[in-house]
Amino acid sequence: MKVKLGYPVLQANQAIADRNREAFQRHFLLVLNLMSSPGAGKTTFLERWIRLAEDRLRLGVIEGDVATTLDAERIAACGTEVVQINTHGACHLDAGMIARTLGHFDLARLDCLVIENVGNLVCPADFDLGETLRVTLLSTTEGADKPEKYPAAFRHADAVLLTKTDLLPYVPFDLTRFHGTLSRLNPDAPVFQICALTGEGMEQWTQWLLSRRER
Amino acid sequence: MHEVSLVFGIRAAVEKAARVYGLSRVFKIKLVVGQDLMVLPEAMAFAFEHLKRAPLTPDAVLEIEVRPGRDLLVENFEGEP
Repeated sequence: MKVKLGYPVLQANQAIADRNREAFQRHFLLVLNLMSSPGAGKTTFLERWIRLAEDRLRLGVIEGDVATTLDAERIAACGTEVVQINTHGACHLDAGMIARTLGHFDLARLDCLVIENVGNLVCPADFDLGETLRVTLLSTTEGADKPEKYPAAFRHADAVLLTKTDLLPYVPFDLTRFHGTLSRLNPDAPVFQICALTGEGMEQWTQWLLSRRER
Repeated sequence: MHEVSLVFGIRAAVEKAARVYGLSRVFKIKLVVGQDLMVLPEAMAFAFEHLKRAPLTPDAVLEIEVRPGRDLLVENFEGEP
């Protein structure tokens, strides 16, 4: 006997993501899903950006890692409310994990919730968390070919941050190729060149984010 | 490696539907995988082999059709009471 089913496998995650999104919208909360490979500089970027943005936005952070609370400790040291999720082996955050942490935050008192996904340029791209904006980071040391090799993470991003730009004089990162690929894959996403150590690009990024919040 | 958690979801959906249709043995599942998803058919097949259990028979097969787009669907399955 053959049974026609048509069961959407990712629907379970999508239903929870939709509920998360409704909760975020009720509180006029801007939610970012930060994605990159491990070591691209997501946490260092956040540490620097929190200091710049905290007088303009009330921030909360969810840290996703396979193990340890190292990243949450770094964010907590900035004085920001933070919850660490350990996935114990799983390569991505899913909407259910986010839903279970929301009780730790007073959403009404936040303007922006940043979700730092598990460092992985592949798997997180398939899982909607209910975020407002997907932000993909790439560091100059990883090479300009990565958007071609891992297109999903870049194709569906609302913004792309190129990090560690202070290293551009020392690494063979082909900026023309990088921008060319992104303009083919995702012409609508703005690209910000960021250096967390010098603060380069942080203000432009913040201004863009604030403009998205006013929509 | 998220294919393992996807196979868990697929197995649970088929298990539930098989009960509804009174099927105790399932020997084939047809899956549609969208090309734009970061889902590897080979990894799906590998996870499926390791996560087979009732109502799936030990020789149950997973047929995968890759299509354009972002769908991930259990299109149908075959079994017997």
